[in-house]
Amino acid sequence: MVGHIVKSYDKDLDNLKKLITGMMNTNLEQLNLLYDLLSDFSNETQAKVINIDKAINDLDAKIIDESIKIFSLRNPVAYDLRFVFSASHVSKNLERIGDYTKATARYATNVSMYDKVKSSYLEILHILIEMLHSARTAFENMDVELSKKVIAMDEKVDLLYNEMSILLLQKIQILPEKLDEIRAYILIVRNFERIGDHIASCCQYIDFIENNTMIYN
Amino acid sequence: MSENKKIIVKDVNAFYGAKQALFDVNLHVLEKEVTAFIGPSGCGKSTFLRCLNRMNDLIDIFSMNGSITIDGVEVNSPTLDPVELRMKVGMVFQKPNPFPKSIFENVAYGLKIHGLTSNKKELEEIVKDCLERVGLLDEIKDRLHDSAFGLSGGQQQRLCIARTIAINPEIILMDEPCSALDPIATAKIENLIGELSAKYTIIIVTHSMQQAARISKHTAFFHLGKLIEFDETTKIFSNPKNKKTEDYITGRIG
Repeated sequence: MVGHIVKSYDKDLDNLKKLITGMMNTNLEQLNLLYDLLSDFSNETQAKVINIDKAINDLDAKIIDESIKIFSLRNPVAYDLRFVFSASHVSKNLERIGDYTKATARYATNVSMYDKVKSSYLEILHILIEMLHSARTAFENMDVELSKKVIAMDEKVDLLYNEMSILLLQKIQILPEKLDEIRAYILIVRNFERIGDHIASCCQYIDFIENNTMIYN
Repeated sequence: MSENKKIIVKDVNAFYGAKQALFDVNLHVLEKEVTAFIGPSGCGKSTFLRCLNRMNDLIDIFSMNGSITIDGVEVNSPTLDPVELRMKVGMVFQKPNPFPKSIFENVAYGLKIHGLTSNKKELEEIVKDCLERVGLLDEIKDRLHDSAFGLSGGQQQRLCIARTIAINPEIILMDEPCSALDPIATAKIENLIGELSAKYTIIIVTHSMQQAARISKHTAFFHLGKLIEFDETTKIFSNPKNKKTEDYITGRIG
């Protein structure tokens, strides 16, 4: 697409895009640290995962401010309108991903990780990291096909979530004395499922921006 | 809601001497609705607007072909009196152009020359009604017989609209009616256009994308003499079908 006659408008939109991809990078850093935390718990790593959420919240606030600025100064229409509108929605999804990641790090204190649970959780987390990585690439390049692939990957996350939920509910019946611990496992996998949904939601906006259509999964 | 096609345009080409200004324009305008024409300067939108009431007849080198019908009657028929046509199709111009007369006489003038009133009392009633409908009566009721040039730009433009509706047209053409006005006067005119659309078919040429988006139901985008896209205004400004339209409304081409 050719640039705007007013070059500073292009700069504003470019800056907004960079803020979004930068926020995705911060989310990726946080998820990678969570992966390390669940692989090998340490208080230091846990603190890092929790503290990154503040940076994510700040980026969300900055993206909302920039979006409002563009709305008020540029009166975006058509493609530009869809892009600026979507930027704030994508940002909100990323902010929620940050919250779920932080909450998961907090629950991690209370769990001692059975091998079976641990391997499944790391498998899901690996998929989530891959999803977010691809979502960032898709957003950078406005790649609708890649965004559809990311949305399809969320089905795998949902499948693993369902399997783990059933397994953990059975564990509660077998080991009622471990209720608090198993409850933490359930909340963690539930957070993973929500993170997958939010990454997929980010990708839905790519098709909306490009084609004014929304893929619903 | 009316879906009656008030104006039907088929294969219209227009020329200034050898230079072609419009190329195969086809569209329709719905009755009692606001339709906006947008496009860069020189794209033919004003030329096309002026074809609708044969204002271009006044230009020696102008010629056109194709068909424009209003309520099924061919606008360019040699048997149609252009003066009668312009009674039916009124026009408001870019700059307010009141006559060098009193406020009252500006509105009364058309009624008098067309013999549309039978007595002085009726004339006064119609003039005051028109001034009230454009929201001007309360502002100037104590100086009806003062010169129209004493009004502000926004008031003068509303006076011109009152003058236009006084002779009871069915269609009002507006050629950038707010381009010389401040935002408050513009808001008043836009509000008035919304109210008038209940009774009149209105076509507005505007360079303000936001104005077209705010006040019109349908929008036509012209570029280099061609009608590129004509659709519901919400579609034009949210998801235009044509890339040229998208590039123009997003400020990528001029």
